[in-house]
Amino acid sequence: MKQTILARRYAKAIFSIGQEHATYDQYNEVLQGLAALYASHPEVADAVTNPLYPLDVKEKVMQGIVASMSVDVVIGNFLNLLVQKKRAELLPEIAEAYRSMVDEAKNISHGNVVSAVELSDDLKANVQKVLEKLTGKKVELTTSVDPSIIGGIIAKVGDLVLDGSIKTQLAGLKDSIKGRE
Amino acid sequence: MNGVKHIAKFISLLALALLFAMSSGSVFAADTGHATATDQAVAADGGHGASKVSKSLSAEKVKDLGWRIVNFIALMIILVKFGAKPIGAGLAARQKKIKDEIEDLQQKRADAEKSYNDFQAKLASVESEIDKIVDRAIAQAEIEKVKIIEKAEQAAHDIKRSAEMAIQNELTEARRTLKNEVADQAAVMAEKLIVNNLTADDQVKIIDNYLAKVGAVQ
Repeated sequence: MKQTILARRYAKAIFSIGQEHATYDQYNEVLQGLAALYASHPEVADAVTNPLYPLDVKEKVMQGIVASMSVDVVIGNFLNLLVQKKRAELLPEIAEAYRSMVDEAKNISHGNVVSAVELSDDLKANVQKVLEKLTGKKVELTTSVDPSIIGGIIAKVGDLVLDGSIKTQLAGLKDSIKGRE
Repeated sequence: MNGVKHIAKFISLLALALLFAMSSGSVFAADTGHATATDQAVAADGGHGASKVSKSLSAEKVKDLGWRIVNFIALMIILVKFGAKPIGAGLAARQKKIKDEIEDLQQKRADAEKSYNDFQAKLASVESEIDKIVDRAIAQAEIEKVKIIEKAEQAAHDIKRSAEMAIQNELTEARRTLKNEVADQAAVMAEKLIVNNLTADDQVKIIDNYLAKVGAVQ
């Protein structure tokens, strides 16, 4: 079960400290790296979250991870605190919320563009330019290919959706034929 | 009931008087027989003497007549004494009864006459009443006829309208179904055409046009 509010609270706390020390980028890297480690190695997540293991063992595991990453003391203490408070399972959600906060602070938006064929770099840059113009933020784009849209693109940035696919246009054409007397 | 009692008393008194009279008669007869024997003896004595005796009343006969008168008077007294009241009462009751019956019959006759007159009057007016009833029934029937016709016309109108609406609905539904099929087929055909004829350049052009349009909107 996701505990987004709790995760946001932890993320906001460490982000505030990061902003004070101007180290929030470093903290972001650490948190994103640990979230990726949780995803790629579930046994690591299990080692620090399983309630069957004693707390001191879980603390030692987290201390080992922190030491191997040779991170800042503050973020190291934060990670140890998560284990002590038995909130280590929230780490991926905290990392996600933290990244949103960093993006907000840097005025960055993440977007995705779906096209029927692979986009060229020029086209991708053009799309990015238009999206940045529309959102007023720097847009980091990811692309994917879906031949079912026939042609055109579907771009999503935050709440903004631009659907210029031929599939949607055909659906609109069909609806207009059906709807017109 | 009272009259019957009086009549019974009167009959019993009459029977008593008759008995009394018959007893007097028998005495008289006995006396007569005795006289006959005497007459015969006198006749045997001589013819002249017989005619002289027969023209005069003997003392015994006068006495007998006196007793007879006394007897008759006594009878009359008894009859008046004991029979006058019951007979009078019986007759009065009879008279009253007859009078009552006459009055009753007269009353009945008056009622019958009145009833007869009423019926006569009714009979005289019954024809006009029948005419009125018939006229009323005809008027009512006319009203009912108009109502029935109106109802039937309304029902026919409703049926016609509902049938027209049903036809209209069917037409609309058929038109919509046809349009949907046409739209679906058109979309399928358009998709096939586009897929078959879309080149890489067209893809780029489409995206560029779209981006230009979106950018222009902004």
